[in-house]
Parts: sequence; C-alpha cells; structure tokens
Amino acid sequence: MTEFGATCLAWSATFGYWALIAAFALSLVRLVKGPTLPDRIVALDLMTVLATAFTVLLAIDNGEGHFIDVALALGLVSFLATVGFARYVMTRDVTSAANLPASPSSGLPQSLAQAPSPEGADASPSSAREKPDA
Amino acid sequence: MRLPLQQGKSPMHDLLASLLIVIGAFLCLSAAVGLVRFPDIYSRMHAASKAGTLGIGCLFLAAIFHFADIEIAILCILAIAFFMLTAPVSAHLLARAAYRSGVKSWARDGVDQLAGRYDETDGRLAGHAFENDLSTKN
Repeated sequence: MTEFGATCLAWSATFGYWALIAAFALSLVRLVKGPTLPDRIVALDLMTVLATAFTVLLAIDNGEGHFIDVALALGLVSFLATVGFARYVMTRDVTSAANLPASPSSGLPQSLAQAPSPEGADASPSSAREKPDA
Repeated sequence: MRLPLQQGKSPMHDLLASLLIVIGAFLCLSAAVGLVRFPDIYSRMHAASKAGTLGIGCLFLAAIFHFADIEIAILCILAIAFFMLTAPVSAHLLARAAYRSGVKSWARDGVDQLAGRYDETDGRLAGHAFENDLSTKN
C-alpha cells in the first residue's frame, strides 16, 4: 500500500515537471515578443513564480525540506524585482517611445509631437499619455 | 532514471500531495497560457498574478502534506501568506505604471473610464469624494 502512494507521487511529480517546463516556455514566448515593456515585466514575474514552483516540486520529489527555504527567498526577491521594475516604468523618460506598441500609427509621431512641448525639462511621465477619446 | 521513490507519512498524505501537485502545476500552466493568449497587458496581468499565485499556493500545500513536519509547515504557510499578500500589490503597481506610461488597453475593451482623471503632475487619481474632502492637491 505504501508502494501505491509513492508511485502516485512520482507520476504526479513528473507531470508537474513537464507542465512547469511548458509554462516556462510559454512565458519565454511572451518575454521575447511582448510588444511593450510592462508585458515583458509580467512575463519575468511569472517566470520567477514558476521557478519558485519548480523549487518546491524539487523539494517534494527529492524529500529535501531545505529547498523550501530557497523557494521562500526566491519569492521575496521576485516581489522586490517587480516593484523595482514598476518604479522604473513609471519614472523613466517616456519620450523614448520604447514602451508604446510597435504599430506604426502610434509611438514615434506622437512622441515627436510631445517633445517640444512648453513644459521643458520637467516633463512628467504622464504628460505623454494618449487620450483615447481625443 | 529516477531517484528512489519518495513517500510521506502515509498513503493518504501521498495521495493528497500528488493531487495538489497536479492541480498546482496545471494552474501554473494555465497562467502561462493566459499570458500568451490574452490580448492586452491588463488581462495578461490578471492571468499571471491570479492563476500563478493559486498554483504556487497549491504546491506549497502539497509540500506541507508531503513532509508532515511542523517547521516546514510553518515555512510553507508563511510563504503562502507572503505570495497572497504581494501578488496583488505588485500587479497593481505594474498596472498603474503601465497605464501612466501610456500603454493602451484592448481596442474592443469599451470605454476607458480612467481617461483624463490622473493628475498630470503628481499622478493622483481625481474625482473621489474623499480626495475632494481632504483637498490635498496643491
């Protein structure tokens, strides 16, 4: 009867490994082709969560309880990384137009029209936001 | 091919742990599918933060049931609480930063009710009653 539980655990761990590998590959797709910078940041956030899940699964599959510490530390670091990236997105110069979608209609002409605005040096990041109903 | 088979305290622990592993890994996979398939940044963030958090919570629960050890259980409950607390915070920060830096939502999303309501200089959201009462804008 104990053999049954161990076999069940081994099969589900194998399924979990392959599901997490597939999820990693899918979020890598979004990381490469995400049209804006926040898309890539969301993909990185999910990838750190998936790495944490992989660590927990390794801990269960190897019977090694110390890997849980690694997972906890990785979760802490991933939260700090996401907050840092969000601060970076909010405070950087948006006239570089790198965060706008890559379609040719938006992006460069709008940012060029925004660049010689009379606000001068202290152009806030929100000043270049497009009004959707304009 | 594999290491020697691991087993927990009882077959019931093993069964519960393997069920939670399957559910958690499937939720992580569905988070990644949503990240690829959804149309704009805000819905992608919805998929990644919610399903990812639930999936990793299930995996930590599986670790609790597999090890059946009080120290590891405390650590795992701490980790679950931490993920549940920080995932909405980071998703909200990222969505706010994305909106303020000009990332548009899906074209078929309808009306953008936040349009023009962020203050241009200090980034506060205007129009709520408590802000009109406090009148902290200068």
